Amino acid sequence: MLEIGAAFDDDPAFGMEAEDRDEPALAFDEARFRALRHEHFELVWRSLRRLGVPAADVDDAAQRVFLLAARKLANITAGSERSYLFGIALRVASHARRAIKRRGEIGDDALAAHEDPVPAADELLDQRRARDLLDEVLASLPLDVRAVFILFELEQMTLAEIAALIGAPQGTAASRLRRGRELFQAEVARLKARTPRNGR
Amino acid sequence: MSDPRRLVEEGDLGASLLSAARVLDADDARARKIALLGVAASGAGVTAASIAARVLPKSLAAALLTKSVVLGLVVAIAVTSGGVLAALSHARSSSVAVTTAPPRVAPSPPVLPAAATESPPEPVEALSGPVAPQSTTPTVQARAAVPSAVDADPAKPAEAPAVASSPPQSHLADEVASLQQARSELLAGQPARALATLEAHQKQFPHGLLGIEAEVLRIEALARSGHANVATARARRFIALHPNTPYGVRLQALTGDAAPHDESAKP
Repeated sequence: MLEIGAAFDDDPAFGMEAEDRDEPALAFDEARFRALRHEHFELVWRSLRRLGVPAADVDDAAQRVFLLAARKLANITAGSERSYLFGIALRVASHARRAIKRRGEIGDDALAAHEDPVPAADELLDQRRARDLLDEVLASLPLDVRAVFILFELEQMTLAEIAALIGAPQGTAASRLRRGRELFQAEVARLKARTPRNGR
Repeated sequence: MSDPRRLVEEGDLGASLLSAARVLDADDARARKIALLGVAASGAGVTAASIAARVLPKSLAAALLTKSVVLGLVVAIAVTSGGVLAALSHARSSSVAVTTAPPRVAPSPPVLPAAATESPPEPVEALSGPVAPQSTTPTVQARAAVPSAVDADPAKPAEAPAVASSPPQSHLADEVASLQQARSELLAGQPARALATLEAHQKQFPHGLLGIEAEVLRIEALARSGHANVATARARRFIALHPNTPYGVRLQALTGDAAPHDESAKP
């Protein structure tokens, strides 16, 4: 497991770009921050998890997302909160993934997925196991592709919603989704090939 | 442009993976929200309570805070450490499959019913020095975190920040860092140190944005240092005071007995 504090220890700026840091302090609207966190916490948490943040680190990553949002609260226009938060979540997830690579660590989830042979299909009733396998499968998707894929397949957003959320044309969202699905299917096929068939 | 059919509808291996993630991630996100924020996914009433905890007079706030956190604690422990109170977490055992580690502290069923419901709201003080939840003195720093308290002129909000000695951002960062420390200590098997850290945290950030999480950690630390009974006591007290919140219902399952307030209504 990653050390809990590690994600912060090695990154005093919490992933902020340099130019973001020293902006003038604005009045902090605590009530708005609370409402924001209350309304969007779950989406942010799910997204981080699905964007490849190891399960043990998702709490910290979510904390970080809202910390960053708190710093920029005055810049977040009404109605764009969800999009803004998802954008930060992407950055935080990207940072977390890089940090793992840098340290040469493999997350708990990836380890768990590799510990045992791939289970037979009927064993996939074990949802947790299936969840771990999904991490393994999704690892092959580039982050921007993965983002569209999870929003469509897991959050069940429409392509129009996704395009708005990620601030890209709908055509872009659609092509990322196509790419994501190709990669996903290819990985699943590979997984199936590893799966012992009926009594091995 | 019409959207393509979703893969989860295909009914193959890929679909099973996706459908597991849909369910589990949603469950986990909900549980973690409760644990970290101390608010139920849809519990508007509870949100009000947790917000009120920061606005109300200190003693009352502390009481409210204490209670609203217990549920989070129990869930948090079940999810993150798989330990201490796992045995109490019937409510989530079906969807949170992390409870594999045997409880290190005996859950000791209904041992402290009387104290839980009748004693004045100070059960922890009897316990140990570093844990008194209400021994707080508001610091200047803490006030600075809430610039809205400053006589803000709505017409020119951009000038308000000049008042704050430290910007809220760094304040939040300090809060996070302090809690990270406590958490690390807790995970390192040093609950007593974590408690001391949390006590210092409480003094430094009596009105912190992350007060709820601090309380979660505090109670977790208490439980791990052999005071599981206190967590149960707080749970019961919460039920007594807030019978109609989602927490009350859930806590009732966690404590394994009927809500004390409900004696008369019990079938």
